[in-house]
Amino acid sequence: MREGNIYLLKDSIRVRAEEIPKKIITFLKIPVVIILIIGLAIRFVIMPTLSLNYDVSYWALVIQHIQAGAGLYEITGYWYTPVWGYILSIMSLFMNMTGLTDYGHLFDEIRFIEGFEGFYTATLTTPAFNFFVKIPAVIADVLVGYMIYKLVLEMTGDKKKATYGFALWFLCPLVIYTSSVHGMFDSIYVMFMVLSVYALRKGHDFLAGASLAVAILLKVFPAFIMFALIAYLIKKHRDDIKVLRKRILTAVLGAGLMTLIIYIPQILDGTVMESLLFLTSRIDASSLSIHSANTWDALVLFGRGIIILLQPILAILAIALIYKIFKKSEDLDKALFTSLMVTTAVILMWPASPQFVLTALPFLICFAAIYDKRFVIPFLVITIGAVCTALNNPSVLLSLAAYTDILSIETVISMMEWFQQPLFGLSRHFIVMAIAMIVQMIGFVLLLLYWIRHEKEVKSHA
Amino acid sequence: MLKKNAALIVTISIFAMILLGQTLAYFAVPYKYDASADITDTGVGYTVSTNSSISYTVLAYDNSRPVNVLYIYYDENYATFRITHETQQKFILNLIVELRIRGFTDVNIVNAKELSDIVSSPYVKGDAILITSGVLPSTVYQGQTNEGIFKWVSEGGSLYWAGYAIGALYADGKDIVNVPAFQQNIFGMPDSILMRAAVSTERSGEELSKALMLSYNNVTYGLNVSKIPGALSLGFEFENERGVFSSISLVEYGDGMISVMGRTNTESSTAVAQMIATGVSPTSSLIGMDGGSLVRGTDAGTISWTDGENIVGVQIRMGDPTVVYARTFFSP
Repeated sequence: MREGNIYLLKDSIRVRAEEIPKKIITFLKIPVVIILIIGLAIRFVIMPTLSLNYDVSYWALVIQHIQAGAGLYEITGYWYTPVWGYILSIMSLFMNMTGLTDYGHLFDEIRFIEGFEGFYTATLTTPAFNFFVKIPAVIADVLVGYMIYKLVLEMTGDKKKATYGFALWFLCPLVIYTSSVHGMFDSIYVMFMVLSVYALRKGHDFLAGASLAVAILLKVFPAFIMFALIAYLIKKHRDDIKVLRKRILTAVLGAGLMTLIIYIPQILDGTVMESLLFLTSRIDASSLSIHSANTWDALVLFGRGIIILLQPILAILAIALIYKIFKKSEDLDKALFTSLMVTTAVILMWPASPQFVLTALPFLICFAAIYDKRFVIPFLVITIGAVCTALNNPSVLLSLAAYTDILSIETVISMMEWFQQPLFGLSRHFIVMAIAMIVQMIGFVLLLLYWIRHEKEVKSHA
Repeated sequence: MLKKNAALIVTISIFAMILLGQTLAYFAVPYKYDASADITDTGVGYTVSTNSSISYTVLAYDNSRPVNVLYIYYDENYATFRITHETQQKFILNLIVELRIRGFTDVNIVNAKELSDIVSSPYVKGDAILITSGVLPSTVYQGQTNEGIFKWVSEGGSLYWAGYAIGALYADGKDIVNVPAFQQNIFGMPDSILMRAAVSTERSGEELSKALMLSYNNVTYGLNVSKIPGALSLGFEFENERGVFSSISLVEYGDGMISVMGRTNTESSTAVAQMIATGVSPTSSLIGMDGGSLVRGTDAGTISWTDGENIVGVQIRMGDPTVVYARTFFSP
């Protein structure tokens, strides 16, 4: 009897083993998996080779400050709130475990590029460092794509639409650029922002609050979606104040507790103000000065100052729009996603840096996949504008030129110099940037016009 | 069950990773480094070890002037020039951490009165003073160089300066007083200081400049290294019709020395720390260099020289582009 059982078990294992290749092939034929593999392959090629050293070299500095035992703020150099620093701390350990010793070097021979119009550094990080430091943002790309897929699938029950949403996100050149070229952490705050929406819809209010807190601590833009989430809860539980109060308090508790935990080291060593330099340094009086070295510097400084000061007005505008959307709509989910899309579009209707544009994309994609495919048009216009703004910068080739024989540093420098040359009294870099940003802004205006048209059509059908 | 809660599990895992990063950055920093050197007349045998993965550099230079005790001037009752007290404080805090990373911890913050006490006492070998206020207090300088701080330097002291033009002004309490012909008084010639803003991308030809990993390139208020006799340029150089000016320079002053590093900002705090920790002097030159990469273990090596004069300094440094650990050893 016992022998018979063993035979049966062996047989079952053999059958299962034979099924594995079939299962793998079937799995690899799933469209979303194919998109995932293509998206990852593109990223893996780009991550080490193309890099915006101006920011990525700062990540090397921050990691080495951590390795020196100086935390995040003991030495000037890290300008953001601590969350990204903690993620870099994990990557530091990971890089150490893999035996990576060479992070980057200062190249004296190209030090002059630091004086070019724009943001450039002669400290060039190595391809290996570039690859490792971008891994968290790429993981965030995958998770945002997964959440878009799940949200669209849950709301439509249509795998094709869900796959379409995933593809729009994961193969979007702007998303790929931000995580795999720029090496910026915008995908990560977008991940926490979408996670907060996902968790709130699932009733995980504590996690929703905690996620939103982390998103806001990474960059300020996700703060604006808070109004849409509160409106969603109010509308959902308007007949049961107790439940509403409980849900909001749970989310607030999650946000508060997460913020406190994240800030424990800075509270203990008195560097909370240093952690807010990203914001405070942009609000001070000098930000509003137009007496800068050149047009570029003046516009960058002035623009940043004005945009920060405009935030309260944008917040009021966002609240008004959200109120209008929720008041009209009986479809809670649609009201939520419309609010999220419109709010994030409104707060980015200025010449925002390309990576900031990521904030609006998940909700725009969800809306396009769930409710109206035509919204892919503003999506394309926005991303084309933002990508052109981002790629107006041959310096992303410098790491490749410095550490490989694929192309020479001189070639890259001559490309950069071409962009620096004047045309009609302004540099080509500035002109391309201005045109691309106008396209980007037109995209957001188009989005709002599409939304107004969509609302009118819904009304006329009703 | 697992599939149903996948999102929840992933979320909690991400939060856990962030908190692990926090722990590794603040509460349980896992990185350890160590270095030792045995210096003889003809060379140095060194060892470096770490539980981490890191690149290291070992450099040897001669004629060093080791700093044993550093006095940093800071007094809120006295005026500063082109730097606020708040910025000065931040600069000093940065500098103290940069020095700590380089193994230098004997730092004292002194006010105008205490600074006066130091410079009016006989010079103690290894003492150095750092001024970051851009202006000296009247307790140690009122335009004369045969008394106060310049007398102390000429007797053997080391003065490190980062800020406005050295000796151009002094602070009488909150008032600032201009000193006429200060360049002539201090360096014996006009045009010894660059009195305009300039940033350079041309590194000094001195091998020691690159070896010390000095990247500070703001030449504003830098010294004229082509005209001041015996000046050593270790930074980046800016040339005009009046001469060649350097972002980091050292000059002999009597039996002592003055090191000038123009403006005070984050990059200059790294440079100031490196200059103080290594104790390079105006007559120092690179006599040997070595380096490599280390992954969780120990490396040993030797550097030999035939022309090392006087006190040889050996700095063992880990990390590039940022120093994460450094120790300097001096021959007896």
